Amino acid sequence: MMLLEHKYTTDELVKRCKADERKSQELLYKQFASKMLGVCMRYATDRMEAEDMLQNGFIRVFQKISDYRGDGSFEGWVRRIMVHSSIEYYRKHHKMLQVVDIESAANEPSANAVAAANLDAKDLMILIQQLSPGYRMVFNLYAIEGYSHKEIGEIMGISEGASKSQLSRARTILKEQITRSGGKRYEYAG
Amino acid sequence: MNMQDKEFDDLFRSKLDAFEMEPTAQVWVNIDAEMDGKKRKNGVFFTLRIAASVIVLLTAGILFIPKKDTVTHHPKNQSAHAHINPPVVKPGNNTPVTVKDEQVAAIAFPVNSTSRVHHTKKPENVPVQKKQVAPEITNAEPVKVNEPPVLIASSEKPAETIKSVVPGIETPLAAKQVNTNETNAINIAPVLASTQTPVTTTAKQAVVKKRGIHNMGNLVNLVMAKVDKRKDKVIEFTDTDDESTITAVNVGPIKIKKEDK
Repeated sequence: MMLLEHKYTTDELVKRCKADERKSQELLYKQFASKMLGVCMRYATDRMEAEDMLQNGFIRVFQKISDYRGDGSFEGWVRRIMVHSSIEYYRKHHKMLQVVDIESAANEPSANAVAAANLDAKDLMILIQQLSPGYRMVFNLYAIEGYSHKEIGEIMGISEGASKSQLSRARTILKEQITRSGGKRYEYAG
Repeated sequence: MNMQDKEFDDLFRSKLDAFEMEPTAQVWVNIDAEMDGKKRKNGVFFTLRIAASVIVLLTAGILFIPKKDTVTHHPKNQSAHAHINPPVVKPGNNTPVTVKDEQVAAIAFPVNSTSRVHHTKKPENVPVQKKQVAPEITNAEPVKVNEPPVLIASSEKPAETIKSVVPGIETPLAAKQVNTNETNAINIAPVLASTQTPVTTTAKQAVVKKRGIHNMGNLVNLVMAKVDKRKDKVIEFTDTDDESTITAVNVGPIKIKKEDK
């Protein structure tokens, strides 16, 4: 049987995935994989970690797809699962490694807005990936996903105050890096 | 120009939101495999558990087998019971004084076939004179001989077993009276003395041989008797059947005992 991708809308694919149809699952995966790897990359130290998160996330998507009732965008639903997969990965692999950066944060570095704007997504991704896992997680959840400090504290098993201070520290480190680079492009190694 | 935190976060969000990256083909292969494997996983886990328990049992077996030597020393332990056995056997020996070899054979049979009642009955039939007396005694024998092997090592037990044997001694006395009618009273004493010792040894050997080689369950029982001095052993097997089955398990908090003897 030949299945042509363009013949199916996302809704149609979701329906077929609910029936546990492997071919449709693959098509759905192909439709969202690149975008979701982009999400996972922010939570990962490197591409390999990100692909682990992506893999676990998609398995979860297919296991839970019958729970998706169609309220809200499907992409948003998948994305939330990817974030959860990343959190789970962090819990499994990085929680014990929560390193407190000893580097002094005495002077708040003033990031140049132009310099920051000149950096493209890849450069910003490198900067995020260079953060220690704890900082990276807090920054991602707060700045990009829009979680509250209370929620982040619960997810990571830290206090609300610790979440706030880790976010502030993460921002400081990122700004430092941007200023240091002066808008220079990073070579992406991932 | 300083950036506000909000601005800074927005910059990251807007730029990274559009970030896409093609995953390697391996990711789908893994997902596909895992989705298939989920169903099989349980089966694999189950067989692994069986394999693990088999390994545990084999290791236990290997650990216990070197102690096989203890089986040869075993008669010493049994001596207490071996002494108890002869009085039971005595009456059978008393009457045919002259035919000593036959007696030993006759005695050896019931002892050998401690558990097999069918065998014990056959030799009984051979001495015609003894028909009446022999069945009583041989019937009593298997029961008594059956008990000791299980209790061999339990140091607390002998008292009980001796008690249980006392009626056994009484029955032979009754048998002796019958014997005196048939043969000389004088014969009884020498025979008692002479038969006592040889019979005990043959009995011992027979029992040991029987149990040592008979089946794995007996071997384990003997080893356990040597190693585990408690009343309830870590593991006990029936020593009656050709196929040994577990009758009792005692692993600290878990105590199971089949009381069907």
